[in-house]
Amino acid sequence: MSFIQKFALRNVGRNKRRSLLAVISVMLSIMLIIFLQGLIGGFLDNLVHNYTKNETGHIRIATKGFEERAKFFPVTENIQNPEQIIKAITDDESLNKKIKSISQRITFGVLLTNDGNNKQAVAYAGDPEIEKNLLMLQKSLLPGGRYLQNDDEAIVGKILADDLGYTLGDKISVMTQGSDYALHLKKFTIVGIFETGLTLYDEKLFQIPLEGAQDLLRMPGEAQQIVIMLDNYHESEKLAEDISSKVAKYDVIASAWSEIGGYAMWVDMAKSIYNWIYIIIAFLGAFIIANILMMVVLERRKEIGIIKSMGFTNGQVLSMFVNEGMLLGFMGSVVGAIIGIGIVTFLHYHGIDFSKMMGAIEFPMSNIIYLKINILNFIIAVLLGTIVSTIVSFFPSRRAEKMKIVDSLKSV
Amino acid sequence: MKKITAMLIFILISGYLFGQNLFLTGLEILQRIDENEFYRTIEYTGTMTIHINDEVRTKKMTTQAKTDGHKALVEFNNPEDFGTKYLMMDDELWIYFPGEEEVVKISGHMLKEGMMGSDFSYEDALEASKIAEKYNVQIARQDTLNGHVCWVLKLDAKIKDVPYYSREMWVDQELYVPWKEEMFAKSGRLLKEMNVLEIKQFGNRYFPVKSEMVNKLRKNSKTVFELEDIAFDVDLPDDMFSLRYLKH
Repeated sequence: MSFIQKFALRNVGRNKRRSLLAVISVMLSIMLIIFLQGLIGGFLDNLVHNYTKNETGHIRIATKGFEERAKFFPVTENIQNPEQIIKAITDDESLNKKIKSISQRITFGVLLTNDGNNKQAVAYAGDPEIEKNLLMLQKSLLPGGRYLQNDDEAIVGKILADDLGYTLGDKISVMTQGSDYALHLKKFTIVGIFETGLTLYDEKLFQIPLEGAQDLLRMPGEAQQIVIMLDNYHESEKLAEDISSKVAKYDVIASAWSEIGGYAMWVDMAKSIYNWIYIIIAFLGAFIIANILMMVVLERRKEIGIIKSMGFTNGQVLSMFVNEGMLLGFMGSVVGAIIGIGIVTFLHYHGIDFSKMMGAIEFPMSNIIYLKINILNFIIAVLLGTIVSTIVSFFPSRRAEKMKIVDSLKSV
Repeated sequence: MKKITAMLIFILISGYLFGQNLFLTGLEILQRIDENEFYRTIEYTGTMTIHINDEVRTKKMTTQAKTDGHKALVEFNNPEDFGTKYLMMDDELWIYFPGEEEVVKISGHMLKEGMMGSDFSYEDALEASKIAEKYNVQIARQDTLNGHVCWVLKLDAKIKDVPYYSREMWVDQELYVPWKEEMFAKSGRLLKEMNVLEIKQFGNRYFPVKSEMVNKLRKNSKTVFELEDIAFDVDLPDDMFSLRYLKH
């Protein structure tokens, strides 16, 4: 440690109240950034997790015709041989070891009617056992109900059931256009009513087994989509390319979740907005630090004059003040990052309950958001706080450097 | 000068009358089509051949219909749809699904769906013989279609609730049967095209027995509808066109 750094350290310790104020300012900024990163990371992860498991999977295999009209849930553009495609993928060991689950799914819109009440709804059909880990609706079943066991059974969202006057054991007549473009009708017995707390699902969704949907839609042995969940969703784009080339001969394409649907675009947009929020907070933090250091310089004009008259060069004065700024920034950043990570870690396990807010939101977002821990954010925050503090301390330090000894000593 | 004036008056009067005649003729042509195709009752066996991409599906049905009350009962007898029945009464349509033994009334946007997956919508089937009530008609031009001299009638909707905002109809000037029809959306987009492939004479009437409908909103799709064993003005009991009979 050079004598200038020792000098700076001593100065920081000498005026405890002033230093504490600077440290607290940096600490609060860094704490806020880490908390926001944890919260936003939790929000986005929750959104991606819910969106992918419920809507697209990390990778979706479908026909080109389906992808062109995916938002309409077409049932006329189907995969003819889903079993063969799944086998081709799972037989490839390098792909299979990265896949958490792979399953067939059919999603289609229907108009449900009961005693003159009509309501649009969305049917989700898949392998009930695999859907236990994707849709997970069995976790939200109300007492008295049970999960799907037979092809002609359904579980229905609570709001949807209430709106149409359905109760457990009722039969719902599902009429929709089949893969042959004709209208077909099939009855399903309600064996469970679920309440996820997510209005979007509780109001619009009902789940039926894949075979039941295939029978209703006149698509035996066919699937509308094959949904793949990965161990690491960050590999989606790369693996989608690998799978696409593997299954090209079946006239299907594999798309990563980030390439399909509206949410992926929204997530990207949200990320860029949040980055701007971080920059604004960092700027505010920097502005506060700069102000405090400016005060420090103005307060210490007398001291600057004395140390300059003792033989300190301009460069040494500048270095001393910059070192002080860096030290204050570093201390504030470390403390802020530790407290921030502490809060984020606590809320990572306990979550924040947004159920009062989320009720009206038509987004696949859970009511309880668990913050995301990211150690890299801790390191970046400490570096950011220290670097920004050092940079902003340079300007008031230049002022100190340029002070004439005579002017400084006038204030004695 | 007198000659010129007389000629001008003649041209004006004849032009006016010609214009009136055009409007009347358009309506008259529609009425002649109605007279030609009018029946008290009809009974026939129909075959719908639906072509979608490389796939061909065949639907067979027997139909009984009555003009009075605009009633029709259609029963499908091809294996995959066996027992499915449609009952049309005025502007209403019910479908009986034999597998679930349930009758469902079709309304709203469902009426726009293809009947049994064909290019003919339920609306197409329901709106027969009501064209003159819903559209203003005028003769647009004359045209020759497959050797048949035709009037081309331009129909524009005069009420809101119509399946097609405008239509063009090629009507045979001798037989008073449309050989071709194009249906358009409000935007001017062509939605459907129908071509009559075969017309047969039954006594004094000429009746289309084979036609082809192409839904332009579908990819590679067309439906050929063929009528056989046609019998006009047979006695059909009234209770045949009832929900009770539909579930029967």
